[in-house]
Amino acid sequence: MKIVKVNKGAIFIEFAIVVTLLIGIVYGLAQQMTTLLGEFDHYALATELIIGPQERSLAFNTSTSQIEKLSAATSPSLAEFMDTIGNFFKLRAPNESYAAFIILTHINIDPEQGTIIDVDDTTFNDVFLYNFGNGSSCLSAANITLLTGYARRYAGGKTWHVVEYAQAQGNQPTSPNDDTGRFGSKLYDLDKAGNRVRRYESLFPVLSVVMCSEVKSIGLTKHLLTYHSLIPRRHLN
Amino acid sequence: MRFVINILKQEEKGVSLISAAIVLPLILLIMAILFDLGRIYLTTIFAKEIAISTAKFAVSFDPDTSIPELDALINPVSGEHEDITSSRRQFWRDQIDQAHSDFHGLTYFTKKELRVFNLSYGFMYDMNKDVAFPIPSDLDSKEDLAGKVSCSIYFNFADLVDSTILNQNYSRVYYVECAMPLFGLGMFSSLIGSDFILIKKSAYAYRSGDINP
Repeated sequence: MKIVKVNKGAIFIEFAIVVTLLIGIVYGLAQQMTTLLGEFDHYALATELIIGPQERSLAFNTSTSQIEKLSAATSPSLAEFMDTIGNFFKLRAPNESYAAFIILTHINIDPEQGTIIDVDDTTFNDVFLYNFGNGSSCLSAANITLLTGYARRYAGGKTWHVVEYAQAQGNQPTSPNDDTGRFGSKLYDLDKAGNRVRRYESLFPVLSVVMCSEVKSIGLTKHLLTYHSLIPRRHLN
Repeated sequence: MRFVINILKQEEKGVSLISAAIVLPLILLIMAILFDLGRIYLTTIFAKEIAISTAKFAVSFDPDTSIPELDALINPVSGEHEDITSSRRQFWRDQIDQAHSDFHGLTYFTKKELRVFNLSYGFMYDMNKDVAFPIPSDLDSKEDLAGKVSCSIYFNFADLVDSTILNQNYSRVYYVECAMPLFGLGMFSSLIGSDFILIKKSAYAYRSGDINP
C-alpha cells in the first residue's frame, strides 16, 4: 500500500510539473507578445510623427542670405518646432506612460557640391522631453538622466555614422553631371551659360527620437525603449 | 505477491486515467485560448498596419485610383445570409446619416476620400482575402460574422468645425476596427459579455484634403 501512495504522489508531482511548465510557457509567450505589440506601437507612432504636423526645420536669414539652424532667435524657434512634434506625440500616444526624448541634429553640407562635410554637434545638448508628467517609470530622475544620455549618444552615433559612411564611399563627384556623394537637399539645378550649376541647403536636419513606455503584463512592468531617426518633412518655406 | 502487484497496476491505471482526464481537457482549453490570443495578436497588428497605410494614402496629394461606389466597398463572407450583406451595406449608409451615432461628419464622401477607401480596402483585401468588410451594422452576435473576421475602415474629422468652408485642408483620424469571433475565450462569453471581440486601431492623417464633393 505504501508503494501505491508513492506512485500516486509521483504522478501528481509529474502533473504539477507539466501544468506549471505549460503555464510558464504561455506566460512567457504572452510577455513576448505584449513587448512586441508595444514595440510595434512605437514604430507606428514614429510613422505618424513623420506624416504629422511639423514646423520648418531650418531658418533662412534674409540679411545674410544664409540657411541657419533653428534657435530662440529664429522663426519658428527651436522650441516651437519641437513643441509641434512633441504635442502631436502626446496627442497620439496610446497611453500616458509614453515619453519622448527628441534632439534635432544637423549634417553640414557643401552648398556647391551637395556633399557631406561633417556633423554639427552644437545642438546635441538640446534634448527636449515630452511626457504626461505622471508616475511613469520612464520619468524617474535616474531614468531621465539615463535616457537623455541615450538620446545624445543615439543622435551623435547615427549622424556620425552617415558622415563616416559617406566619406568611406569617396563622396566627391568628378564632374558637374556626376551625382556621386551628393546628399543635401537641392535648392536649384540650372544651366548657366553652358555650365550646370547646382545649389544645396548647407544643413541637413535629422530628428533623433528615443521613445519610452511601460509594458504591463501580469505581475511584471518593464520599460520599452525604441530609437528612431526621422528626417523632417519640412525644411524651408 | 502476484495479487498485490495486480492491485498496484490497477491503482496506477486508475490514477493515470484520472490524471489524463484532468490534464487533457485542460490542455485542450489552453490550446483553444492560445488560438484566440494568437488571432487577437495578429488581428491587432493587421489593424494597425492597415490604419497607418490608410493614413499614408490619405496624406498623399493625389491617390491614383478609380472612384468607387460605396456599395462596391463590400466583401461578404461566401454564402452568408442576404440580411448580413444588407447590414454591411447599411454600415456605409450610417456613415453619412446625420441621425446615426456612426455619422462621420458630412453627408457625403469626397472623391479623394473614396479613392483612399478604394486603396485601403484593396490593400486590406490583398493582405488577407478571408477578411470580410465592412463590419455589419449593429453587430450583436458572432453568428453575424459567419466565423470570419470582419473589418471596417472609416474616419472622423479631427478639426472640422464649419462644414460650409469647403476649401480648407482638414485632418482626419482613420480607424480600422475588426470584429473577431471567439473560439476558446468564447466559452467564457458570460464573463466577457460577448462571443466576439472588437479590435480598434487608428492613425492620424494630418491635412489630408478639403471637403469639396
